[in-house]
Amino acid sequence: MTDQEGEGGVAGRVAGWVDSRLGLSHPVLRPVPQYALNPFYWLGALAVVAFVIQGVTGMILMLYYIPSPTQAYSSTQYIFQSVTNGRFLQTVHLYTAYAMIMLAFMHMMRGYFVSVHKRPKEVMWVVGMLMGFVTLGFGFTGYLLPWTVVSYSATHVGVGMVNALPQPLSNLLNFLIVGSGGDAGELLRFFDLHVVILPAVLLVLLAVKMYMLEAHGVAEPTSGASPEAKAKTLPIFPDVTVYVLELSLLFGAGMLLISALFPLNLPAEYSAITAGQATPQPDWYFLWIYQILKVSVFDVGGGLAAALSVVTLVFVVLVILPFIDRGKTRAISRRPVYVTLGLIFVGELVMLSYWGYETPGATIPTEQAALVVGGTALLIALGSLLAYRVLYSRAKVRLQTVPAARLPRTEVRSGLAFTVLVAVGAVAIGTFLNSIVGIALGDYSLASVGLFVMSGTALALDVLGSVYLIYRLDLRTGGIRRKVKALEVGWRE
Amino acid sequence: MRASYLSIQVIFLLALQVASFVVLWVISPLTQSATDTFSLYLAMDLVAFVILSYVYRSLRMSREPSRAWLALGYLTVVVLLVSNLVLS
Repeated sequence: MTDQEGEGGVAGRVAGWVDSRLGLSHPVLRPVPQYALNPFYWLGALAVVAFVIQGVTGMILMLYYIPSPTQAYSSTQYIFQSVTNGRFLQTVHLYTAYAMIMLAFMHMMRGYFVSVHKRPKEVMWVVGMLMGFVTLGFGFTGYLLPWTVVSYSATHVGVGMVNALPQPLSNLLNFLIVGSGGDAGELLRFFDLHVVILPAVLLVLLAVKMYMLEAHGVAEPTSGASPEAKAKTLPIFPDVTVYVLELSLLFGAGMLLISALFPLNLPAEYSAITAGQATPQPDWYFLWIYQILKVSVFDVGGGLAAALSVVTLVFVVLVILPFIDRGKTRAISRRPVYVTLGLIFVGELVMLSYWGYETPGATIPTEQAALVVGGTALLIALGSLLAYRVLYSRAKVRLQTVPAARLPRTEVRSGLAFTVLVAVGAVAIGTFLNSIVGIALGDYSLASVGLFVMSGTALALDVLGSVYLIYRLDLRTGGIRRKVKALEVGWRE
Repeated sequence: MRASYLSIQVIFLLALQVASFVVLWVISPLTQSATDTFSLYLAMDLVAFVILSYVYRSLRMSREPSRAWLALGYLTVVVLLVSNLVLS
């Protein structure tokens, strides 16, 4: 018996006994800096909590679920209607799956914005991305299991897409998800992947990532940490453990609240009749891919492969990001290009997902897609530019001791003018293109020609307005004015 | 914050947890409304545990528990309790 075991009455003796066996007061994990007691540092940990909740609820559901095309739906319905807490377990299982995907995405984007992917954590980022793919794999394989008409139809669109992928990826994925073929073989393969293979892969990747986190330590704030801040650390047990427990319980309470507010309803069972009436639509986390596939330019022969190449390129860029963004600085204020690109990425994902949700089964004209995607990117880029200019001008104001109130107001006015010009420009370009197409197809009506003239004029005025605004904005620095003057009088700077 | 107030809060939270645990044990959630009741009671239980844990962590780190956070926690407990009563 150790000294600890004999102190502090019964409770102290019990605590001492546990501690002497588990070594909780001498943790092997390194202490955590106090600045890391911030929920944003624990988004990945919360995704793991969601994974654990899914593991527990999934194991109970597995006791009742039968992975066969004839019984999958009825067993799901049985869990829903007849098993005590079955409805609760199924709802929590689904919503924590959604939360896991969302938390993994937020964890990735936070990591991107605060540059945790930079040296020496490049491999850690790559492992994290692989974990993200596995998480999406959970969603894809789990979606089919209830065998509802929506899940079956959407999953088969996904399975069909696999054939359009380049080799050897297509063969590999076919081997993994289709198996011997037929509904029964496929459902069983999805079930195996969902409950055995993917969890095992995720656990291995998690262990590798945790090992690397332990080796590198928690990332410092982007502004750097003072030696005093670095010195203020907390032991992993009990302080950090209790903090993470609090976050996890709050997360659990949030999930329960959401499942009470938005109860789950089981859609109709898949059958040949119901399949004809349903429009295949994937779950929300794949809607952006679905929307890209619906653009008419990808509707021709070989278009599917081209669309999937675009999607694959996005994933490849995300994986190799640490080897592209190699700058040493981590401060958000000094990475305007990468931060803007990240914001555009998030904005496009949200926009495409919402658009995909709102237009199930509809083909999207290429010009419309180009305008919406381009307009979103432009608006976000301008918003980001404005934000950076306001922040920078504030910094300059402090340095130059110019009155602080006036400069940001000018920036806001310029930003608003830019936004109006972009909005007018987007409408003018769309109308102009439409009228050109109409005239080219032989529509010489007054409305068509009138639209052509008006949109053309609006576009020209918009361009002139943009040039004028840029010229006005430049008056303070005089860069453009000097160049115009140089052009007029033939100077050489 | 005086220690006696904290002790009263801790006793209240523990009593609340015992009560909600009994309710959770008794409910047989097969219908949608029973499932909602179960979810909300469990959520309330978890929030109560978070408050307890927060008080413990603050005292351990020799810090005064924030009154604002405590108030927010209790408000959440009350909202969940009232919505449960309305639901049932």
